[in-house]
Amino acid sequence: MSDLAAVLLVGLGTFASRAVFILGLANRRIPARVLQALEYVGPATLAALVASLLTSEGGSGIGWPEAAGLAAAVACGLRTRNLTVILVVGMAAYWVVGAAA
Amino acid sequence: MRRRGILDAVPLFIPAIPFAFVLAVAILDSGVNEMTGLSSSLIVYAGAAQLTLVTLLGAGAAWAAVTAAFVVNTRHALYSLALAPAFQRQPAWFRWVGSALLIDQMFVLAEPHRDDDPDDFRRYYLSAALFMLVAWNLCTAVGLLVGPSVPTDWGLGFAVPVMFTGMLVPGLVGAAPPKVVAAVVAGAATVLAADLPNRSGLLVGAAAGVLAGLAAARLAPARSPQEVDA
Repeated sequence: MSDLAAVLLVGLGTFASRAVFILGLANRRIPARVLQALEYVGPATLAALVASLLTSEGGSGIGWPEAAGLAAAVACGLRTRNLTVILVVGMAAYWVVGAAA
Repeated sequence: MRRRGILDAVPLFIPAIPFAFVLAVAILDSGVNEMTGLSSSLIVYAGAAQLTLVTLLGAGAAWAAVTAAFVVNTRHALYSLALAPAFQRQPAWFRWVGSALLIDQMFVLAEPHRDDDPDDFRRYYLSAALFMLVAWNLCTAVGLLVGPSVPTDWGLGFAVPVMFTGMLVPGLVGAAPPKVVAAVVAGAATVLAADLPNRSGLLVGAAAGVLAGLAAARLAPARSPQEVDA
């Protein structure tokens, strides 16, 4: 699959996820179990992404700088929703520990 | 309503600026063609999915990339569900266009206006959404232009997991325990499955997390009436 084909495919899938109820199923009853599962997809995927980026083959691996950066980002994320702040704090911890190591 | 849509959109867009830059750096790092990467801002138009897609494409795992980006996107279905009643009062063209532009920020903006007059809702939504679309594509393009001048030893690639962490953790603060269980199990299962080919451990981990969340919700003693199975 070419990269552009992948982009197009994901574009279609994204549109479908946004349009599914607005265009399609507005008047259907959705089983409670399905809605509940949808609630867990977000956090589960984000956590899996972080873990995969760090530990999969070709990933960055986890050394002290990565651990410090993630810990700082988590601590910061418990206090604010501001992504910019979390990004800056996480990267700063990563750089500082990386420079010290 | 047009002016108000744009004025309300600006503060919500600001956190997307560094996000667009991280995306641009990820595109440059991945080796994906720059124009293909940039086209994702128009075609996919969902930061987290784009970041997932280009990062995994760069790792050479095309099917895992597409599947993971789909999974990251499922949250939009919840927005679509919540806004569907407001869109039922809209012309067909706007239901298509409005769906295509339904990013996280648009849900935050539109949700309080669900019960507005349909014409007001449409003007407000369109002005804010078009502003977001143009700004996101511009910022991605600027990031692609500026990105190459950033030295690689800054390790900006690490901004990608930091960004996902920043999207994950605030959503867990005060969340129901099963959500936290879903995230923790997903992370742990992904680490255990890290050796699976084509990064499919990510999908195994995410599925394990969702199942664990559902199981935890079953075991939780206090259930609100809406959560009782229909």
